[in-house]
Amino acid sequence: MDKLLEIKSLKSWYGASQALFDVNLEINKGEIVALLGRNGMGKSTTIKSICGLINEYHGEINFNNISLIKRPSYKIAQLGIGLVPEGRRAFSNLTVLENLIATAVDGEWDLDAIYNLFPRLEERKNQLAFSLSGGEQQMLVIGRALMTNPKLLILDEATEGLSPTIRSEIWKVIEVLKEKSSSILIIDKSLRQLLDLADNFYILEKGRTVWNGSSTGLTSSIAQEFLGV
Amino acid sequence: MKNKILNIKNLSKSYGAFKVTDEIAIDLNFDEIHALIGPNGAGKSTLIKQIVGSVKHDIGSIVLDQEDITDLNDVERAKIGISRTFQVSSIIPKFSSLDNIILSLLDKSKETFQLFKSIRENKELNSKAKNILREIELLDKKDIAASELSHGDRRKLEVGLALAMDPKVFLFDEPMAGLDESGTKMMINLFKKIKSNSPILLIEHDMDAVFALADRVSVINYGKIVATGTVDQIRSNDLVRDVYLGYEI
Repeated sequence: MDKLLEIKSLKSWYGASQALFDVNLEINKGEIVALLGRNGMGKSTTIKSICGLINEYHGEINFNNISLIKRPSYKIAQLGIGLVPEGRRAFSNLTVLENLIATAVDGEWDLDAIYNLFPRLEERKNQLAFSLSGGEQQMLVIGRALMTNPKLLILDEATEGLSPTIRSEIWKVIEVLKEKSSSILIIDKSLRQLLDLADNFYILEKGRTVWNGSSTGLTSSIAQEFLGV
Repeated sequence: MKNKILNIKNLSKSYGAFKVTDEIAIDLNFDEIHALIGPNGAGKSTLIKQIVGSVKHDIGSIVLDQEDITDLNDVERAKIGISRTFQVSSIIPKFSSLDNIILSLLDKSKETFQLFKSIRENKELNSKAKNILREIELLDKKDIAASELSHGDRRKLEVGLALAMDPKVFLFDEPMAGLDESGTKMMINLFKKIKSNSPILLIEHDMDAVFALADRVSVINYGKIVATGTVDQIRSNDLVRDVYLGYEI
């Protein structure tokens, strides 16, 4: 299998406090990988490190055999990593359409494809992002990331704070992405949905990768030990 | 009405032709957790803002513990006992978890302003703050700057700030968002414990938590309360399933 992302011995710091001690992770092309762990174990810090949003980190992060270490975040985005960050961060004073085209890159995901995926965004294309509901903002942020036609899509808590019906819509969209063989790194607390979707799982504990394997290997005792579920 | 700690009647707010809350009537009994659920954009957070006074309503009345607070501003309402958490965190990022809680306690205690260094050395405040951090399972992170806490831990700290205010009622806006399984369990147990002192109006999308906690549930859609009842009544309500729960829950 073609390796898309490879992280080896990643260590990261926030000022004087070390958050990651030894994170190791691999994503092959066309794979959905779930990053699991309790709160504060380093999941979002790992993602920030991949995207160049951490000042101090060591180790190896290779994307398509190119090192991402010490590259500015915009250059990492240009290499083909699309991030859907936690907390719905649309450009609030731009319209839906402006949000979608602001960072677009030519490719399979264009406006028509996004509107087909999220018809509600087309209905609201001239509305300012701040006036959208939480669920619509989340759709917009996912749509915006897809419009960059990323080689790797990173979803950090993409279903958080959404109503049950909107959450199901987002999971259906992730299923569509899986059918299209998209490469995705996903953090989410809905283990049940992840077990159906993800090809591979990594568990972080206190800033270290402590387990990885497929859904069949993720036994209830492992889930209990590392995730408390 | 003596059993009502919070009683809201006919609360309405429009932006132009758009009614964001439409004749809302909702109340909160002593010892109660009343959950408010509804689709994103239905008006839940706007209702909370109207209750705390940060958004002015057009018509309607709000009575807290038999006192009409309709004409009070947000600061006055906070002082007489309404404490809320936010969808998006309101903590001071550069301050440690402990300092954030101490500041909130200080606000409640109405102590005159002193240099913060001497406040930090106040044993009573320190002890109270540590007890709160213990309750929300953040004591081991007391010296970590809030900006360095994980998303889930910041949500716990947000609830800690509300606890420090020791209010008459809590308004919690998505307190479980971003929490892992053990964090959610901790929060459920904490809410069950504190509701007898300060009842809770709870906005939450985590239906497992809502069903585990709520004595009553109200459903809001397009700014209107469309149903109120027990968990069982709400779960089996077809309208609620259509507009919010879906059919997998």
